[in-house]
Amino acid sequence: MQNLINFLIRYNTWLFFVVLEIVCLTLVFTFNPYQQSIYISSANQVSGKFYTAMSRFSGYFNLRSINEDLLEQNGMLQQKVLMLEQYIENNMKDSVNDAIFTNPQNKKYEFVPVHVISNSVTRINNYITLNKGSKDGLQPEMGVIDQNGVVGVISNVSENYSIVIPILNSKFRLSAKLKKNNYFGSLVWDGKDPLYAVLEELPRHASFAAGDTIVTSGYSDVFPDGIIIGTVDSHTKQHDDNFYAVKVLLAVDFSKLGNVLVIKDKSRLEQKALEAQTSQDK
Amino acid sequence: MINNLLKYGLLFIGLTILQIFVLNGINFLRYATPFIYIYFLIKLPVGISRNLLLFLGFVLGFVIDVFCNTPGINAGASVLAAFLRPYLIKSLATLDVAENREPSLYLFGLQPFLRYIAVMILIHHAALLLLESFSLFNWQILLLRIPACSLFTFVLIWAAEGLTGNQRKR
Repeated sequence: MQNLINFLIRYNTWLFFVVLEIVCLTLVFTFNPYQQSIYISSANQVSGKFYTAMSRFSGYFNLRSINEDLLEQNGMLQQKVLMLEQYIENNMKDSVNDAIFTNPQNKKYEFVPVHVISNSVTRINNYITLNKGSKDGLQPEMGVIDQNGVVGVISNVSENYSIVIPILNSKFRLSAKLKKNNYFGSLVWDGKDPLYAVLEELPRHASFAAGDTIVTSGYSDVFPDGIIIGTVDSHTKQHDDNFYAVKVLLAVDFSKLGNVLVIKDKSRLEQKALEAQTSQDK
Repeated sequence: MINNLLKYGLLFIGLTILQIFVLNGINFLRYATPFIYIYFLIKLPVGISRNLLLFLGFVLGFVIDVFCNTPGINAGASVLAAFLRPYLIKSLATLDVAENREPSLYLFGLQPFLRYIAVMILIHHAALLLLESFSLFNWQILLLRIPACSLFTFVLIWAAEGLTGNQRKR
């Protein structure tokens, strides 16, 4: 016993070092962004306040280009609205379906505008912090987009802040498809370049060309069908040769995110309940 | 004593803020990101108790981790650097290790001091980037990133050292 105590006293620095490293490594290897404690993340009260204060300054830096993006987007939307209005008008007289357009219950999605208060593109696992949380009805697994396309998925929510896992995170995975022929694969990031992601597991017989649009597949309940992710840049065969891995030029420029939209899917609870019921029945 | 406490407190806060809000956003040529907060560990007094050094290393890394959503990664690397620091100083400089002065050009001499900073940065960055890449291992990128980031940090720390060194001469 005496020897043990002597040993501990003699090597207390070594011991302290080992204990600290074990704490750190446990944190590293048990870390799961979906079950992460809010306290050791950028969504806690202190770091959230800091980031909010800083983003008040940095928010001005990209205003010009964001404005241009928004104007462009606005123009496109306006055009779409006009086209739709015309379509409705033409079909009004003989169509039974006009209820679809007027029934408020069909507004399945609601978009909540939020501000990005912290963001990174330099790491292998990047995260984005938003300035709204559960108080504004945000929940984990809600999709996040900006005016150009898909940004990521909310992983964690505190009262006033929430953390997004963007495409630029090795833990991100999203079902995506080619817009023109609906062949789908799964989108991941290879950690190399914040401008590109990889669409894996695309069947060999799928035909595509550089510049083709990649959109969300709508198979998960996180994103609606058809939101733009990016365009095809180039492709390689995957190691087992039965699938293509396509390099995708992302539509969103992650280095200058300012304002984003969170997608609230109103029918999601219903879908969840139904799925839970089905799996119970099995 | 109180003077020292204030000085190192300010250094700690200043470096973490600089790291979190400015340097974390830098990605020079898509590979090099400086991690200047290690400068705090480099500048702690030579004679500091080793347990305190380890503890400060842990706190420093942990604060950075909380802001970057990378639990354990920065803390683990800082603790390792803090642990190896006394051995490094002993092997590089022929001086009384109990001396309670901060490591500097004067105390160490040019060559040992350069080597001291370089090795501290290398240890820390190698551990940091290795830990980070466990989730997505890509050794080519890792081999590029370690020297690129280290070089960037080294330049910044050397610049900071130049600035503070001049002040003391006046």
